[in-house]
Amino acid sequence: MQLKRTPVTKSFRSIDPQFTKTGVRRSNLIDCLLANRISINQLEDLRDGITPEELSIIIQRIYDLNEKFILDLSAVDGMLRRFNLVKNNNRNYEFGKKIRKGFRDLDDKKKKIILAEGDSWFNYPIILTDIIDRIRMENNFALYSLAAGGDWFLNMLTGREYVEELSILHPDVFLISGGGNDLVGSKRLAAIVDPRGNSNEYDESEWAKKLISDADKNSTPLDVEKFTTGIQYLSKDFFALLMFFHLQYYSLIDGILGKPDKPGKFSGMKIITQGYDYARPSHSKGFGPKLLNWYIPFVRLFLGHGSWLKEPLQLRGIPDENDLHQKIVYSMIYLFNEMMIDIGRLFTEKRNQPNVFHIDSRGLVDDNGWVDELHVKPKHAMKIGDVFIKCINETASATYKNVYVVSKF
Amino acid sequence: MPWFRTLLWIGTISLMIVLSVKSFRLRSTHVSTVEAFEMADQTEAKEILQSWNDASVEHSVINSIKLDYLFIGFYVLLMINYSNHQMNKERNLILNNLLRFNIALSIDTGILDIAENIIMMHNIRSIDEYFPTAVISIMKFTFAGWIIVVWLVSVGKGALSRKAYA
Repeated sequence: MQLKRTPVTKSFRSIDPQFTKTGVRRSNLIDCLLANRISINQLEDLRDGITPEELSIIIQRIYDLNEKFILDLSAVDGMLRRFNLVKNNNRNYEFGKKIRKGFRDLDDKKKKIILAEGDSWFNYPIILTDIIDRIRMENNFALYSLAAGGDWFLNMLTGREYVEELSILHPDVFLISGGGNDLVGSKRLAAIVDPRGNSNEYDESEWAKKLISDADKNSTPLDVEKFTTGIQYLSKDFFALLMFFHLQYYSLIDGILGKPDKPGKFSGMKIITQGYDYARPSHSKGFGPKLLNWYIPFVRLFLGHGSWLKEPLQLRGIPDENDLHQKIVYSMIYLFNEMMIDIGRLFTEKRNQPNVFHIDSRGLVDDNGWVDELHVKPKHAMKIGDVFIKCINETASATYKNVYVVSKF
Repeated sequence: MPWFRTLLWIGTISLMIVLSVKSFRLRSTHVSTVEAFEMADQTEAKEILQSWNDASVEHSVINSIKLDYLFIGFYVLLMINYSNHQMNKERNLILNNLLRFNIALSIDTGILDIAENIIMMHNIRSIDEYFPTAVISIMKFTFAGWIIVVWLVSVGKGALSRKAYA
């Protein structure tokens, strides 16, 4: 993906004099966040007025790289970029055709203009039918896609392509899927685990513990054994990254919706997020007798299977006894989804109206439902897409609060 | 990308025309076509080859087979492109899976066609070591037919659903 902003590395000192509303030095709060020793109040304090420069500093320090290297790392290039472009060009060509036929009708509330930004769950460029493919099948939607397989959330925010399209398209709905590649792309998973399994970072994170205590465990059950085992292998950098996602999503959505007292151009827009299912660490090539599953070995042999989850965990010497690798991923995805749900809650409370919804796919897909470590079979992607459609059309109410739990539909 | 699909159509149709003209020329000289050679057993193949030699058209036949490689490239890509495009529009899971399977079948069809051409060239060069191509040919046409039928069913269903919406 072509970045529109020239990477600029700013020194930490440049924001040092800034203080939060409560008079705390913001750089101190960033230090606390990076050390995973930040209270909920401090995180809220830091979140208010978070700047792109501060976000840049946080990610540079989490990844121990300067911004240029991080942007190089996160950029989608080569064949994958071309395939992404081909699929998006097809989608956007048809979007243009619909518009030229007079699709947009301000009096017809059923017709929706949708903008989608995201990763491979929204644009798997070859062979698979992804979530956006399913959503596009609806006749009352015209969908413009910026999504790109392999794209990092960081790259989406830095590229800011969605900003330009938002102002041009004025969509009714904005779909966003990001964070997966920031967690597991370029073997980053190896950098956020503690191979000894004696991490107490979860206990140190007041914020993460609150996410879990607030979780609606009736709708998405928490397997305590899996979670408590897996969480002991997540280092402080994982929690710092999760808080970084929280700040990024908050900043993105706040920028779109505007403040309650000063609503932006898109204050009435619906924003829908998603948070993946419990991905499956594996090196298995997936050969089997079912002819219709011919594409699974193909995808696994050529498109990165094993390199996102299994290999980084093995790289750090974490044994896979008692399904340990799966438990680590389970705890990551559980927390990631709760972080996203919390973002929706925050904006609902802040604005007194539900604008931000989350599609929760956790627990939907069984062991046989995966094409590779990260991607679900088309039938599951279509099922998730069905729930997005229900949320957009408002033909079903949320499972609870602002959350649609896919397995409940 | 419509320009890519247009390019594939132009290539496929142009080559179909060229190959048909060449086939028509063979028929006009009262000898069997390449298609007949594909389906022939050893005795018939020997007769066809002899008739090509007698009419001095063997060179033209070999050229047709060589040109067929290019045709394979175009029609396989066309079938993959159309199946993939339709797959991303097909909400019926069975048809969606069948359209995905079409991608594999298109590649298989191309491989079978290449194998058939290689074997035919071998048969032309040394007819005494004849290797039959009829089974390969039947499989190739069955696969291609299946691909087209699945695509047509999906397109037809989609058109009906759009009409109902309108």
